Amino acid sequence: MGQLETRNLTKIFQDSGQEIVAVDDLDITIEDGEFITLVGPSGCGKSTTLRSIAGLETPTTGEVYLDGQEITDRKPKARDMAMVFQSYALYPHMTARENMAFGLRMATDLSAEEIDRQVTETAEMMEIGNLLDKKPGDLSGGQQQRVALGRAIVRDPEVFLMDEPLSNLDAKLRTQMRTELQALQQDLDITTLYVTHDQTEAMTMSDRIVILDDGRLQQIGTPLECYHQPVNQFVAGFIGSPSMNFFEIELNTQGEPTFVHDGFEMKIDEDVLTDVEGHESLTLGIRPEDIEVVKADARNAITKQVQVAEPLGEVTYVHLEIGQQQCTATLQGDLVFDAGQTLSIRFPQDRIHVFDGQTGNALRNREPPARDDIEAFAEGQVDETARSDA
Amino acid sequence: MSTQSAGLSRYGEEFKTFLSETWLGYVMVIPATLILAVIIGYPILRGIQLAFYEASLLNPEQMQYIGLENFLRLLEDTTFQGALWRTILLTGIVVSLQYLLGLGLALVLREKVPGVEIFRSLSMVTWVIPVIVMVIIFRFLVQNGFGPVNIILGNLGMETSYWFGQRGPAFILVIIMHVWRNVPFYAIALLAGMTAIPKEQYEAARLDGAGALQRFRYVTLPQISTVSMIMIILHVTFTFKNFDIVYLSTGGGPLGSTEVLATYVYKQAFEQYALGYGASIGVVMLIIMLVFTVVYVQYESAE
Repeated sequence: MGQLETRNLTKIFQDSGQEIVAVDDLDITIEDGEFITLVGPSGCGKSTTLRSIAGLETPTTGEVYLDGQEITDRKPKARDMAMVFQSYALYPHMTARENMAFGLRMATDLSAEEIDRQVTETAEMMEIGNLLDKKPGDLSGGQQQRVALGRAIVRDPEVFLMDEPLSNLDAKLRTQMRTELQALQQDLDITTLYVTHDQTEAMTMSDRIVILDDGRLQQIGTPLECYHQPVNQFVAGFIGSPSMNFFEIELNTQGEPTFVHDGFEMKIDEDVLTDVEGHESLTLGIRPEDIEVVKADARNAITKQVQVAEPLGEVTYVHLEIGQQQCTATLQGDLVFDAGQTLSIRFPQDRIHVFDGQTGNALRNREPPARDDIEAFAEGQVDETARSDA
Repeated sequence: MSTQSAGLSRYGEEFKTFLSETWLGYVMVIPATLILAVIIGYPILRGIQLAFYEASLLNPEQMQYIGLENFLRLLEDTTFQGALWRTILLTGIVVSLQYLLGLGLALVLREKVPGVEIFRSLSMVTWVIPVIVMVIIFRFLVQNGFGPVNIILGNLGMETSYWFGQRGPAFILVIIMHVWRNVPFYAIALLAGMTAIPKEQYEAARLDGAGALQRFRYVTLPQISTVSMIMIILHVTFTFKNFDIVYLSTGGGPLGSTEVLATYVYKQAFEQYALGYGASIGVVMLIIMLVFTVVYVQYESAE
């Protein structure tokens, strides 16, 4: 069992007389075996949350529960959690074997032979059996990473805590370790709390992600929920790469209902109007990959000159200026435009997000992809015409 | 064949680069090397040579080769043996106390206790003031009648005395001066070693279940072993050959109770004028220090 819960978790640091609220009234419940990622920009409180759960920081107020038992004031060693640090924090004077055995030596009364057997077994699983007698200084970054993971795994804890464990690896190794770590967690089925600022890691690895900003919880949900149905403008802008485009707009209800922006006007349907009516200022959001290329005379077409095009092969990023605001569109890779070329685009109504201009809360989100369609794809029941519509 | 000659010419190239890039370095090193050779190398060799001669300071030209006779005399010289034993005892006690107290002080300084910054600067004072000043201060402290130590002892109804004139207390005072002078230096050096240990290692150890003592034993201690070695070798050498603290405070007395090798060498050479005999004692000191250093460095690198 490893069900983890924080209730009203708050951590305030004192810095030369000033109070800095690192974590603000955080409630999270993590089910046994779940892989949860805490994600957010630097200084959002994600590491402090992790450290409070580990017992390395004492919460100012609020509690931490493990399997229903309060552990807020327990010492780190009494929490049955193992942590992987960004810097790995291996003991440089010990061999990989001694590093991995250290926790078992300190916290259990297993015999030396038993400890050695468990260490060897874990090392085989991590494919570092041949490195056990080397010291961290003689290992590469990726190997050190494996030893650090092995050190956590061999203790067979209730909860894994990982503080940006992949960010010191190079890009290729990071991608590889990401997959490996995910597979490992599924095998071991140990509750994992993972901290990262890298939204790709958050999206690809987690069962659910917790998005924090300024110490406050923004949203908890599956990666795709957060992507398709962000609760507010912060989440919408944080998840997704390139980021969602935002336009401050006004609603004009005289005549046909229209969103009015300095750079464009957009006639809206009845259902969009219902969602946004009664709010004075609004923000329109559209993901770059949801922008369509249309004919110049199409309804709601916005015709602008391409400022910069970035062909990546599979896709092309096109940057336009719309009413003195930057807009990025992700187009098919074979649509390579040159700077200065004229391009007509449209924001499809079923893909737009609308946020309250003051609070940032989402008033309308795009339709999430229907589950039935995906299953139909999986079973091969989709014909070509259906696919082109989708 | 062609690869072989290419290989050879590559060595030639490397050699040329080596010469052209390093000659400037050698040129810059030469003056310092020469000066060192004159002021260190020559006295050592001359000292070793003297140890095999009968030579008087009054008549230094009339040297007579006597082989190992000086060393054989040492075997029967009880004053020498007493001084040797006292030197080893003094060095052992002083360096142990310095290390333990310095380590303790470093551990305290590492905590963010208010006022630590000021203390850190002040604590180096003991190391910076000249030895003669320190000795005068200590002699004043234990002066009979008006020395603060004796005033306190007198008020407590205990015996008062000029403690440098008492056999046991004199030796203890010599130990105290050594310790007092150098503990802050240990503390600063060990503190620097400790500061270099990332705090994540302590956090990992806490999660691994290590208590405060175990964190000290398994995380701190192994990682300050190099700086510890340097401090211990330096101070074993300092203490073993120390002359000024002992000579200025007690002159080796009372009744030879603080006589150490360094003061005994001085007395042999400059009071008894027995240059050769004094040099032979110096050679013994050199050998002991070399053996100690080599063994310690070997042991440390084997760890």
